[in-house]
Amino acid sequence: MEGYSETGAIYFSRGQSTSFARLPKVIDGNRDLESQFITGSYDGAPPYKKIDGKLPVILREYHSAEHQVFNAFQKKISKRDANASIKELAEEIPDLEEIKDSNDYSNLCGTTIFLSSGLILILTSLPNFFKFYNTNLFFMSFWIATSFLITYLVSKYVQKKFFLSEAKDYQLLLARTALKEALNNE
Amino acid sequence: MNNIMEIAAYLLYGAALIAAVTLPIWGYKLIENKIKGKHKALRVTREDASNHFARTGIIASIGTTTTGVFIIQILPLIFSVIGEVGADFNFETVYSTHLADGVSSDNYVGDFLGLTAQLGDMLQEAAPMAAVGLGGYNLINNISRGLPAIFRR
Repeated sequence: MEGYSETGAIYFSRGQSTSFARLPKVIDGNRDLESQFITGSYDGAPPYKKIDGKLPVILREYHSAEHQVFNAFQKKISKRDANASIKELAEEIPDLEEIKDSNDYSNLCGTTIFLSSGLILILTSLPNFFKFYNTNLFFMSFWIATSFLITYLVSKYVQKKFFLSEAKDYQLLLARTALKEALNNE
Repeated sequence: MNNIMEIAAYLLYGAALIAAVTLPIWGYKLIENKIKGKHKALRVTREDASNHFARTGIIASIGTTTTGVFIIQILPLIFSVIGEVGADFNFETVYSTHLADGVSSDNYVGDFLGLTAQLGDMLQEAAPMAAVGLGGYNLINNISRGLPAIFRR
């Protein structure tokens, strides 16, 4: 499953298609918010765009909402069989409280994968530059683990600092609606 | 009994060596499966240009990382272990006991261990340069195009 967010809309892809939930232009305060979201599905990818510079806070909030819903859902389905049907998985859509409790960091996010691969390579080679050659199993294990830990911490910091910001309830609900749409779309 | 222990030790050493040598393959598969996700019903199957481009970018990044870590840290270790274990297990004795008629064992083993040691030294010198080259390329290439760069249209 892939996720993508932009200001006012959140997307989740599964199989051949992408489903989305979008905020309406005008919100009626007298009606239930979730029922006013515009939803739909289409064949193809989310409308990925190049990121130019620092993301505005509002977009980072939607990005956080997408991650939180994805993480909460993944946590709930982790014990389900790998061959579980989409109907069975759809029973595990998290509620708002479960979503709020989940972390907004995702190590599968596009902002992390590329940064991590470069960092790991540079970190693992550091001892060699100081002529500290690796011929020791314990040192190798220790250093590889340390490199992965440092990479994890750096990429988490970068993602939190530049790409995420605390999501508001309506954004979490929007992301949840997009997930529902993706799971109910046949 | 000694022979059985010796054979078992060789088999164990062989298995460990194969596991280490094939690390780029199974390491990569492990990460690929993590990205694909456990549940088949949730996997993305579309084959459009964007998805193909994304997959190629991810594979390139993960591929260079697993191969890089392997070359920097594990390959030199394997060469080192071959030398140490070779000495511990007394290659010369085994060869001369079982294969004395077949090869000039002392020279062969000596050359083999010498060569692996040289290869290990060479890799220790060269691998960091290659790693920083690959890592730097990954970082600069992706950051300069914006993150996630693969999604540029």
